[in-house]
Amino acid sequence: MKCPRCVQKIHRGAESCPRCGFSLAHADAQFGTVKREMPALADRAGLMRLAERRRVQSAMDRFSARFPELFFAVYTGVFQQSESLRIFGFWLLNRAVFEDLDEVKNDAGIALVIDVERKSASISFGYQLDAYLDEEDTYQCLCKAHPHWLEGKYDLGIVALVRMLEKILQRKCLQAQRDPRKFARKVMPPQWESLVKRIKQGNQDEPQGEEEDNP
Amino acid sequence: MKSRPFIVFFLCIVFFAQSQEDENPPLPRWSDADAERLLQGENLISDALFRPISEEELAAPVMDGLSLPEYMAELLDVGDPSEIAEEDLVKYFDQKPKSFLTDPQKLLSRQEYRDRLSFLKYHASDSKVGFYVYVFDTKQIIPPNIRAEDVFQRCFADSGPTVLLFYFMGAPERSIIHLSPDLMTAVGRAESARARQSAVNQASVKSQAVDQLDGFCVQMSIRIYWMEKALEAGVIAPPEAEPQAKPEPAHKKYTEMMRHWWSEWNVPFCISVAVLLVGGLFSHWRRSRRKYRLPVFPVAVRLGGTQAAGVGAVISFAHANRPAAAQREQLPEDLGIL
Repeated sequence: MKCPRCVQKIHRGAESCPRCGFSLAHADAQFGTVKREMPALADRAGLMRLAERRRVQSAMDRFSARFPELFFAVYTGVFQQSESLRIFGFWLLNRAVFEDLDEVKNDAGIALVIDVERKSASISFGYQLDAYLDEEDTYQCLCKAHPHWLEGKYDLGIVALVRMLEKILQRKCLQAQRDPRKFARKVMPPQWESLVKRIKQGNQDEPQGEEEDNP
Repeated sequence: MKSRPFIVFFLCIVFFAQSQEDENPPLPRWSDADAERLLQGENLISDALFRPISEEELAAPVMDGLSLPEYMAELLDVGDPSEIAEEDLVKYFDQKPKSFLTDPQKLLSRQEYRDRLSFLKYHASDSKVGFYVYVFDTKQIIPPNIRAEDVFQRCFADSGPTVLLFYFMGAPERSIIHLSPDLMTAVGRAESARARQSAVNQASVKSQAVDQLDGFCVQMSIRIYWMEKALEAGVIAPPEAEPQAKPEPAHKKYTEMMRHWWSEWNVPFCISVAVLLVGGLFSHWRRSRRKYRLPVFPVAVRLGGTQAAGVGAVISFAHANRPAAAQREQLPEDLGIL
């Protein structure tokens, strides 16, 4: 867990960054406190044509079909030099209202933010993905898109990024089903009481995750 | 008086000529009327030369294919070039040949026959091994029922060591050599084959068929000389090893093995491949429609964000000379490095 501004590690549950003092209030001051309504695919910079947007939308729909409880959002825009993509992504997931996503909450979202002016991109994600995604995973996803974006093919880059993200989450999901404690340790404080109880009971746990096939 | 014989000779000649003249019809003489006409410019040649030809004489004669002369029909009837006529076969093999060169089909001219025969006679005078040559045409085939062993038994049983040569004019490579049993024992099959091959090589350098026969016979005669030496020395050719079958090339063995395996296992193999394919496709289809649900863990709110606080990587794609791999280390954006 890192601070969006200084990219330093912070403690889970920290109200502000102990190093730079950053919090959501600073992001609100920069981008506003009013909740903004926008579609999941918000091409504000006009990077993509209709066919390209459709291609990206279908990739996002496929992602949602594979992971019914998650969603993927894309925001393209022009940012000023002082505006940080990480901070904007953090602010977006906390303040945006995605019109076409009624059944899922923002804490289950992954937001891709692309700055057309500075030609940079970042990924932010909600609390549900804290246990499954880290900086390295998002870096791998962005690397997949990098060669396409160099050529100006934003749609292909986003599609490649989404596919890489699917692979990573599939793998993490299967691992979590086999060993959920490994992922729980990443986000939850150690449960000493339950640990003692498990030792006494002989380490017998109920599976927490389940897999569902298409009916 | 020395000239008297000449005078007598001259008179005899004159008398002889006169007598010949009397036997021949008299030469035509000009008549006075013809001379007169000729002097006046008349043509004394008969008009028959200038008589116009009638249309009947100009008409082309009708050619009737059926009315060919008999000898033409015989010429057209060539027959199979590989067959030897029955009467010729009788002349070849029914009895011991009367000369060293047997050519009942008259493939050699008389002079050529005499020349080749003279060489064979010379050989016979110088060697105890009989050398008999049978001449056949280029494409003729000796009937398979005529075996050299039978010919030896029938015609050369008491002739001592003998070499028979069946020679095909213009095709020395088709020549066949047969050695009598005693000679074969002394020489061996290998030496016999070598002798034949060397004679073929000698014949092949010549262009004319008759010259080829000549070269073949000469070389064969030389080889027979060495065979005779071996026979006189009592040499017994070593027993020839059984011709070993050539080892089959490995790839042929493999191909044969695969063919045999395929004929036996093709149906189960195809079924198993089909089952695997269908299973793989079905599995892929199921995996593509599979839904994943991540286990949810309670996460404490941080930095004031009620929904999200997950910070991922930032990457720049502004310059191609700054690849993604160089951006692995994430730095704060306010440093302006992006």
